[in-house]
Amino acid sequence: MSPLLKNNPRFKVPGYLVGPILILIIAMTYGSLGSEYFLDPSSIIFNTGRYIEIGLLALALTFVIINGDIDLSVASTLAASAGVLAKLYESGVPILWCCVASIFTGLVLGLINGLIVIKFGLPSLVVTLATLALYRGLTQVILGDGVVANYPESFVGFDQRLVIGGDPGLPAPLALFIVAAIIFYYILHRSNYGLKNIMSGSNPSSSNFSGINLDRVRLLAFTLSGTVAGICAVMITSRLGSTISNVGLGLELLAITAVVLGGTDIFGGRGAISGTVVALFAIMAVREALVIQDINGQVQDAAIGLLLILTVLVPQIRSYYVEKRNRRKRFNEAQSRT
Amino acid sequence: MAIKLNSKVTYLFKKREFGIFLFILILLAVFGTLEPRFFRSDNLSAILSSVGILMVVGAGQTLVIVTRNIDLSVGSTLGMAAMVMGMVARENPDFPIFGLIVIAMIVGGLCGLLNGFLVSYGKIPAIIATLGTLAIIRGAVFLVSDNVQIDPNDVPQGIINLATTSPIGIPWLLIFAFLSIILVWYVSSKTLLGKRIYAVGSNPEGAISRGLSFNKITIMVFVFVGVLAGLGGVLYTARYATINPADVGRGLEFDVISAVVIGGTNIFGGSGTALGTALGCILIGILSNGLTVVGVSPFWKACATGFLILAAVAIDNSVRKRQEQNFLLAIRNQRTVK
Amino acid sequence: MNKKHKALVPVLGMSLILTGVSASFMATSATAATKYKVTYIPKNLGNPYFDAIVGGFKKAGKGLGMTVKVVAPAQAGATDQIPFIEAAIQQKVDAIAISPNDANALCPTLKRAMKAGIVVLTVNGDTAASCRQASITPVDFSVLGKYLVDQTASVIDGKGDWAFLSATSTAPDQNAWLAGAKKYIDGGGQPGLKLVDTVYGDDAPEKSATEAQALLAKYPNLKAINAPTTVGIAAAAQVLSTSPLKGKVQVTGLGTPNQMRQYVKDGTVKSFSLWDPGLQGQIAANLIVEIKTKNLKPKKGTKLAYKGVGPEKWTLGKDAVIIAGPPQEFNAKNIDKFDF
Repeated sequence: MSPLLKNNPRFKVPGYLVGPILILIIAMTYGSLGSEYFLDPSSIIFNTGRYIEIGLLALALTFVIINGDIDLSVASTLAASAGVLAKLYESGVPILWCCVASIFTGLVLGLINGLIVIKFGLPSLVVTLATLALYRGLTQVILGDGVVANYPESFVGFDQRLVIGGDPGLPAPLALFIVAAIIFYYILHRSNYGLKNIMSGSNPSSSNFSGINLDRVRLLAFTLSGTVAGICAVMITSRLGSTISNVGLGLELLAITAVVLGGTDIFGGRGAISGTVVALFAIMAVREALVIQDINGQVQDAAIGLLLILTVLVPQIRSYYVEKRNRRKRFNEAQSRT
Repeated sequence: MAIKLNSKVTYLFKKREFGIFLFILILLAVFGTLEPRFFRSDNLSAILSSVGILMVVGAGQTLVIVTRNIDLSVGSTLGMAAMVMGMVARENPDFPIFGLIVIAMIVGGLCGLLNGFLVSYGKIPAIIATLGTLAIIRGAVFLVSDNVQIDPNDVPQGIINLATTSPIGIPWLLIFAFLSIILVWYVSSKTLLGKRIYAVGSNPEGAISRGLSFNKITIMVFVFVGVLAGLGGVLYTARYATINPADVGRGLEFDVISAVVIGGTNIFGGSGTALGTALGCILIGILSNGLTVVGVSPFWKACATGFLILAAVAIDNSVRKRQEQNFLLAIRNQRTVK
Repeated sequence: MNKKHKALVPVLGMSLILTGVSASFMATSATAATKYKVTYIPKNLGNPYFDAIVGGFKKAGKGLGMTVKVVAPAQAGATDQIPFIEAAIQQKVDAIAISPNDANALCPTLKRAMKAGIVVLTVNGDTAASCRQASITPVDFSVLGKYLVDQTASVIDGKGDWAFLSATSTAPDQNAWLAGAKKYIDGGGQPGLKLVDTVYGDDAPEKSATEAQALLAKYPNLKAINAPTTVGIAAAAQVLSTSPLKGKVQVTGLGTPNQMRQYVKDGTVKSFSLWDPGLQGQIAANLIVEIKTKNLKPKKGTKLAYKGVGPEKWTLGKDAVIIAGPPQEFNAKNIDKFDF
């Protein structure tokens, strides 16, 4: 009787993946029906490069959100790290050290977020709302109204390089993302830290009593998200070949959308890396399917917003009807018994 | 005994906004000392009128956040209301002003109703539902307006006058702002509905088990903030005269939520006052004007704003913690006396 | 069985929505038998200034057998236009015309477009010269800085304090003009004027109004605010039109006549300027056809002549830059002749 017996568990797709996978399939179908150019394999692979920064940020944010926190400042952290990279490069530091400094800046800014949240006991939504402005301001202080360009050829164009094969091959950003996703998967679902992470999000007080150092778990998650923002700063600088103080403006909402679309509970305690990964590709497919048919930015945003709501709403509606049917069944059974 | 405790409670409530009030005084003193021209009457009235729009929307947002929800779509809702009103006015130049205001409030209310339904019956977390409608309503503004902005000479003079003329010496814009704050204060502290709203926010399970209609109250607060955002759309039009589909109300949600949070409303629901929000709005208005007046470089401005928001929240938090300690101490003392 | 139900609902729902969205948009982009497919990417949508460029583009394109598609991102961020360029490359269009939001960030993508054999023109704003074939600017940007200073001088009789209210601190055009203006002032231009401050309204009405108000409060001797951006000038004019300082402090700069008409008539604004934005679109359309049919390689000194378009004759300047025409001043006398 129970659904578990009906389905072979080995082929069961987790509930949180159903929505994003469906969106992915529909968007691919819609895109290829609407435009003959959509399924051009080299374009598809190439276009992924633009979404990888969002994807990496979303992977790190998955940890923060599972903890029950949020980090709205990721895009500003990215900008500040890119600012440090640019200024150092301009003053003659070798590009490799600039990249290291950029990642380190991200780490420090993430750490600051975490420390403020934990030491002052303030909600992360509020703290990172403030550091969203603060870090962006820092970027403006560092860069002013200037532009830093003329990065060395060896550094620019990371996103156009292929790791395996040639035309079509596996581009470097996608390869990096796959590696990152596997690492994050192991941390979240196979390591001790991941377990603590999920536990502290699902039931903070009982986790605390069972000896988990909540503060350290949360601090690590914030630092991780900052560090990843620092890495993304290097990637975006390499991709664009220039730095300006509004770099990455608004990326935080795109990353959070990917996390939530992938089934991570916005209140913490539940989530999966696989969900975030599939959701990222789903968002990518939707945007590419719309842009290839000349649909403007606002409508693309609206479509993603609609999908975000539907992926949460549809299962709710379904469970409502399932429950109603079960109730009626139980009622009928009870009636037939009497 | 009971009376004594009661007076302590009101005392505490009076002092709740003390931290933020103190912060405003300090800021005023600093800005005024550095640049006495800050206190010119036209400057202060200009600060108030830009704060007025924030206050109207913030008043509604306070109640939403009190019920453990959040409305990220207020900026788009304000834009939708302003755009529809502007289009009606452009087609019918003789449309009565009162009618235009009602139209804007109805449009805002409908957007709020959509949010309310998604959050209550749809059981979608408010932050996700309104992140979605933020994009959807903005997309709708573009579709409705056909990407064409409303120019100042299409806006009736009667609407523009709301920002400047008045029956009693203060412009209508501010009267609306104060009325919204007073309305929220009255509802939350003097009515049964207010008690229910706070009960739902501070203890949802308890409120449901006491038979309060969770869904009804949720829908009510979302419609309320929608109506106020609609009114905000009227005031926006009065103040800025141009209604551009991309610009109108863009990013308003950040300012409004900052103001509400600075005003001491707990982002996790259950507590918060209209007075606090009003002070939070005033603080933001003073900051954005004052920093330029005293000659802070535009590149440092965003930095300073972020830092001061953080400081305001931290100070408010520590003041509140101390007060709560004193309050608990007072109760304990009373018990031992007895 | 449950799973099937689960699958059906969103499939139906989403395909309905998506077809709805596409239906409303496909209608506008009908592809009849045309010779040239062109994509124009303005900075963002809903901006009357760029609507005027689009108007010119389509008007000229009609007679040349050209379909002009207009697509734009939601925000004017540095990288927001990239997906639209990529899509145009994928669609194998004949030409891309773009009003770039950033002088550098779009370069790698535009270079890819040129490599794919697509004609790339920048319109109203430029990137590095190696990232496009030619650039069409509305007026001579190198003298616009001086023009803005002289314009300010003309509304306050050459004497007094004034300030710039610019767009964002990263806007390439405005930054170039501001730099030009400062150079002109440092070189002794308009000695009676004193530039006291430069603030940024971020092209948002609220922030522009706040900054304009702060300028009024801070400088007792302020005589003029110059806002070389359509959003900023309208916001500053609206602040002044309701301020006791109306008439005492002048607002000038660059704006569209429709947005500013109100303020010229009520006396807040004496005069402001712009140019005919549509002219750039007309030139772009003609130039694309010329490059395509005559295999023209635009460079310095190339001569263009298009009948019935503005001044009808242009010579390309350094880095293949085309200057469309002179600036146009608007005041109470002539403003009613313009509608854009």
